[in-house]
Amino acid sequence: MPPKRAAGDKAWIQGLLAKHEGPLTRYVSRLLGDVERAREVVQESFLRLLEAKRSDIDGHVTEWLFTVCRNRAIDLKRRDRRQLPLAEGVEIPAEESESPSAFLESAQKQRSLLHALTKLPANQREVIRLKFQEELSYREISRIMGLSESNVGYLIHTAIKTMREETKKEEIESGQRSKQPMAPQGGER
Amino acid sequence: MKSHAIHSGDERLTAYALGELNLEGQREVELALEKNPALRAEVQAIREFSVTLRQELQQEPIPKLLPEQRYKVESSAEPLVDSDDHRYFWWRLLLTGAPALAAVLLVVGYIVFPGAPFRLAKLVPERIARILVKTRPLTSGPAASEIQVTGSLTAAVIQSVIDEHLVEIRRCYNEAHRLRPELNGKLTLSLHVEADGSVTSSQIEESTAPGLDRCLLQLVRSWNFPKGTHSEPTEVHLPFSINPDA
Repeated sequence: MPPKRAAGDKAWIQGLLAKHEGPLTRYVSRLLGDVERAREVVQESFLRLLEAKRSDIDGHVTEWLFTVCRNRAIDLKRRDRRQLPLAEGVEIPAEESESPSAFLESAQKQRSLLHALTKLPANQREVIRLKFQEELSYREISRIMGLSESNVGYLIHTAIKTMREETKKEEIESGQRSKQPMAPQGGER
Repeated sequence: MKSHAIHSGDERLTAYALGELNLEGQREVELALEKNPALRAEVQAIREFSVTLRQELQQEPIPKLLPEQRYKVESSAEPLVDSDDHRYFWWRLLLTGAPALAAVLLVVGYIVFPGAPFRLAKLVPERIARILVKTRPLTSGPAASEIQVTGSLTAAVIQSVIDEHLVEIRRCYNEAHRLRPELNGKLTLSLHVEADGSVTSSQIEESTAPGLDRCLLQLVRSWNFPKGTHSEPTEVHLPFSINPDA
């Protein structure tokens, strides 16, 4: 039986919406590659939050919301894979696909740093976003993703290392390109 | 447990740079940093990279819920007490209002028709008795023409009193019939009714129904008749015919 609403619930949920609806929608849209569906997942998660026992979530509402959103997003992705026989068994990385979420990337696509991010495996991209975009701790990330803290630390360490190497390589390449003499316009006669 | 030495590319350096190590781990890394400038440079590079990464990622647009989605969540958090109140409002009104309305109607009815409640009170047992008699016509009270009266009360008045007590008469008969199914015949009671309507003496004059006669005798002693018109007592002879097949 759902808990009875208290007088302060509306203010409580408004506070949580103000704080988390944006980060959650951004996070889920990265997982799904679809902002509209991400919104639905986030709305559903907030509705579920209202049904949850307050004593079960007090002190870790952020983790709870991210976890519920993530689980729902994974369910939807699995269902999509079942519905699309051609994509069966193949993981479609949301950030690499030309999905409606591309608008999120459009402004930064040229930046080498984010370009390096798109080259990472999905789980490394996810921990990087949770750590640096959502400012969550290793512990919180481990609970959301169902990993150990040391596993999260390893994923973040590896991702940073790869990204640093990738950006360094791109800097070198772009430096070399800028040093090359310009080809004469119009070509040889 | 002794931990391994910290070297370049160690993930503990990343955790240290991001503030994710516990005190013991921090001390361990700081000791290594003091000894190794290359490690210090690595931590610094990780920190700078983290700052840039954080800035870049946090500049990304933040999509939000649509207004109607946010409204649905907020309205779902409204206290349900109000809607409960609304849902049960009419039931509560009915339960609390119905008795009050009935009381008002009774008072108004009594003012408009003062004699009605009493007439009704007299009518109801009689009706019930008639229904009983109709459904199980085992006996009946004497007809007015059979009642012999000497005194201020008339036979019609006596019969009206008998009619008021038909249910009790029926109860006596049923009990007697249960004990003696062959019950049949006739019995006559004589009463002495005082001028004030009370029965001061009664006796069985004639009876073929033992048990029933005593029950009726007890019964008539408790009856009250109207006051006589000439302040005289009345002698009454009540013949009852007992016919199970009637």
